[in-house]
Amino acid sequence: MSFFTFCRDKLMVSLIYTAVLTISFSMLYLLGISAALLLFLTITWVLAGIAMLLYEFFRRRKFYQELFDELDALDQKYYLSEMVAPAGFAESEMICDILEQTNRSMREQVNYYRRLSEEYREYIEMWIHEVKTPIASSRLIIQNHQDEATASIAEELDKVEEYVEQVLYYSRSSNVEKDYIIRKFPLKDAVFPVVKKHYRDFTGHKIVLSVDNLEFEVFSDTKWLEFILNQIVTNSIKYAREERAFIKIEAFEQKENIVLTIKDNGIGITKRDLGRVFEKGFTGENGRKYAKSTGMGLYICKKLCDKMGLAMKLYSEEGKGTEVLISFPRSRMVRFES
Amino acid sequence: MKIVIVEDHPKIREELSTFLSRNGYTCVSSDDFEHIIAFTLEQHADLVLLDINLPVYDGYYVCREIRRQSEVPIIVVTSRDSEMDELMSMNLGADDYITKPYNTQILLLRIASVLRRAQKNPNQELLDCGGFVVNLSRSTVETGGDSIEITKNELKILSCLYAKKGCIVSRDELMKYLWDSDAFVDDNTLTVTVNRLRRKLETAGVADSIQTKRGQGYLLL
Repeated sequence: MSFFTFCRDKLMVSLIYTAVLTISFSMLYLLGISAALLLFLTITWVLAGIAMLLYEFFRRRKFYQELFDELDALDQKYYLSEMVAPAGFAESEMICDILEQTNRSMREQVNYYRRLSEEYREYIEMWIHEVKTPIASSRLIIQNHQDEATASIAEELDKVEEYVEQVLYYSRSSNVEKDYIIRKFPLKDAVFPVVKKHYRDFTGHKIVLSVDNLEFEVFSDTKWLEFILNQIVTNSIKYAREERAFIKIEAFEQKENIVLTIKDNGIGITKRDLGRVFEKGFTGENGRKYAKSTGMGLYICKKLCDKMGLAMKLYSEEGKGTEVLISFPRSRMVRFES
Repeated sequence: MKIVIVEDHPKIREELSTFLSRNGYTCVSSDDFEHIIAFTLEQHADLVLLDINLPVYDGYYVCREIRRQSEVPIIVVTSRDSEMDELMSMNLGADDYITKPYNTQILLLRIASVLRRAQKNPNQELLDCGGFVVNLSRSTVETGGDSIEITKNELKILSCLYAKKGCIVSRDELMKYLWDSDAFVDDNTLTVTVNRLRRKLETAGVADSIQTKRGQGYLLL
């Protein structure tokens, strides 16, 4: 609050004060009071008026200055109501009161929605575990009754399973609470189960798999990492070229990171789409042209990586191939997103 | 081989025992979950497949109780799949952990490998194949006084064929065995490796011990 704005606020008060002074002193003059005495009275009253204004100004400026300083210093602005105290004049008390009331109401709203989303998430997780039982029994039934029809159902079931898995990790990735466990393990512990899942694709003549250098130990959650790798490998298989396709999974050391790369010589991604692959629901040209894509896979991967403090990058050239890099900080002292 | 299936979902229980019976295992199960621990222990089985979501007692509790009284291998089968659940099962003494909906082939492989581990006897370091001996710890094939080195993948192929000695092992089976033991070979590599292994055995003086059954697989005589 500058002195100028303060004066502008007090303009009307000052005018009334001046008017009253002028009128009363004119009366006194007409009544024949001596000029010297009048001058003395005028000066006293004007000075008293200025003094009152100044006092008011400094008191307010102190309060508001502190208020704005606190506001600037706060990361979460809504904590302001807990930081300010009334400064002994009525306005400041009212301001504090208002802040506190609006805050309380906002907190209630936030809690309400937090509860809602928590409930929803719990329900989704429960549902996912429930739905896995019928999927498991369907698989066994198919296994015990093998023919063309059930083989085809099995393929569809694979897709159902993939979608279910995606929902589970989507719900985990948007959870505010931490529900992963970071521990140290060699990269192969997460990579091997994933490649084994795609056994059929790699053992036929379709795609050649090579894995190398996966003894490096990293800090992460194996289950989360498995999900991330599975999304990437599934993409590589989905968008593999017709002939001489390969997928290479390797790791190497950098000064502060262990980097895992998944490289393929598939159809690649056009330059236009490249910047948007981690966006929610983005399917791009490949998704439309070649295979049905939900546009959620990489988005969820990125979110999970962010949560665990891993960096994920994607390079691709149309017609040549795609490479995804995930870097794991070597020291455990990284800041995980809360 | 006798397997106890502890599972509360009747359909899965039924289909699982049909599936495992077809693959040469004897299965028993019970739907009396009040006394499931006593039931399981009474069976003196070779393996327990244990679901975690059970009525009456929690699967973790069942796992701990069984482990307290018996060394029988336990594979936990569950739809809960977080790292926490896995660590918990392993801490309670489970030998392996599989999440639902499992791939049935992987389930078979896991069962086989847990059973193999459980039955490993000290002589298992040497596989006596009649004409020659495979030394697992030194990765060599020994005939009389001769000893030739073989590669890791060749060794894996030999042990897989040895496990079903005298029976045909399909290429698919062999491939699955290799993949399960972390050797990610493709179709061509498998052919090449088998041929190379055969040539090595020939130079060691044992010809024709690995036979190819066209369209069916391989056979160790």
